[in-house]
Amino acid sequence: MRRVAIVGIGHTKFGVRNASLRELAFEAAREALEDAKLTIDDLDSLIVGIVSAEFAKMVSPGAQIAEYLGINPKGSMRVEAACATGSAAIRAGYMTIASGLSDLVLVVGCEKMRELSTQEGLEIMSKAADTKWEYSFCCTFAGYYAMLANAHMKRYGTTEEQLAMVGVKNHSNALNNPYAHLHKKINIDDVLNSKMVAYPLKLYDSCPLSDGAAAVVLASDELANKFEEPIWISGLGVATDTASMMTRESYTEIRGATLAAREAYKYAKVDPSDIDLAEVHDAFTIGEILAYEDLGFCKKGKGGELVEEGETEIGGKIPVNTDGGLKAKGHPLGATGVSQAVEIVTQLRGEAGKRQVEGAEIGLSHNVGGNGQYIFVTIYKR
Amino acid sequence: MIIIEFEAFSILSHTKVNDFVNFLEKGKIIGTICKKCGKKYFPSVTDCRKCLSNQFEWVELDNKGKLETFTMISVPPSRVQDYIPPSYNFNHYLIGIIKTNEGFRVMGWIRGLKLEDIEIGMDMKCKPLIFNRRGRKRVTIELIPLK
Repeated sequence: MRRVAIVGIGHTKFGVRNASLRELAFEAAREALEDAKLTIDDLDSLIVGIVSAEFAKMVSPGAQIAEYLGINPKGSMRVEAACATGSAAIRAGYMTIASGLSDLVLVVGCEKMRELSTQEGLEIMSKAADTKWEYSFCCTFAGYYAMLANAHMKRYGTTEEQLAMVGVKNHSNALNNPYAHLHKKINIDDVLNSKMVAYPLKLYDSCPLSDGAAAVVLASDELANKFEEPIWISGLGVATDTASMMTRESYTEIRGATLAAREAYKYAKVDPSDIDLAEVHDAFTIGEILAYEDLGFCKKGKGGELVEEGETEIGGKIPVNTDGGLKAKGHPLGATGVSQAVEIVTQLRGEAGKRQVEGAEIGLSHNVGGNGQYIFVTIYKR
Repeated sequence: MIIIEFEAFSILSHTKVNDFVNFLEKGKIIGTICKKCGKKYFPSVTDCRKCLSNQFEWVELDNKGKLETFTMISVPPSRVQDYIPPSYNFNHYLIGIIKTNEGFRVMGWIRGLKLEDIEIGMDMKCKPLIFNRRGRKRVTIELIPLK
């Protein structure tokens, strides 16, 4: 198999955007191509990651995006793995190049979530859980993560304050990320006093609904070496679990994350202690605490202490979500995994400005689909 | 035989396990057991993942167990208007999952408890509930504390 590197990155401002899905995709693609000093004509194929075309009032959105980007008649397809779609799209791009089918692939992750009302958006997302058996109990994704939080708090003594600390840290990091949806410094009391969404998760434990896109240009090793600073995809792990909460073995971990991480570490021949920074799936603050544990940054049950000790801040043992995470940067579903890759590449190139992790060589992304049914862990090296 | 539609329980109506809702209406929560290899399933399935057989029998669940986890939804999705049982508060309702003595996990609406009274690990039972909502018959499952 051929090695694959990221040679260009692009990112739109996340937030409520007066722009259509295809226009958002173009913004990110243009930036990625300009970063790589390439044009559309140089590309061999396109992979588009979008979770739900329902958000953008269409079906088969990949084709409409391919047309707007001017990729026709070259090959293109859409990839979907719930909220881990962006990482699935990068994996698909990786496979396309590693297999020899293409040499230069553009991967665009995007989602247009604010065309619809919040209520309509929540309804669409609810259908990413088990629609046959659990839909009628009117749980939301906040509710599913809240169930994990309550189980974790009961078993390990994790506190609402520790959950809040994740939100405070990520909001603080987002202040230095111009692409972030939310630029608002908050403290622990702001989180604890914010509106309850699904006990124990509050408004500031939850990511916003955002529009946005992110893009990367992937290249085969022989091409990548001609670029100034290729960042190599050196490990990939993927695992799945049930969409149905009723058939889960455990509510105190995301089992698939533990498995996907193990696979990615083995592939990249690294240990958790080798990781210089991580981008993890903090759609809800408990998600970040579970990620610390499932990725092996601390023992199971010790995630709350890890954030409390400041070890996941920039300057700590393992900085996490230096760009603000889903929590503050925003979570345009299909864009998120690609956005995580963009942040890691920015950091490994040493271009992250005020949020730079000094001397970062190895970065990891952890992207969870739905309430844990898809998990992609990807490791990037300079 | 279809007495009531699966849609009384779910967003979907076409399924090979429509009898699940017929049994709910009779007060029973049922799973399935594979006739060939004996593997037991809840939620009900007609197809065995272990041996690929499509021969199954209905089996009633032991309805007692312990609360595994829960939440209180305070920002509800809009479908709550269609599915919430009477006597539950639209804006703050408790739902949870119990693990039955047989090891199955059952989701349901938590009845008769306030947030501060709930404790993971408490003894509870699951029980069918039949009600009308917006002119439609609904069947669902409630979780009720065992005194």
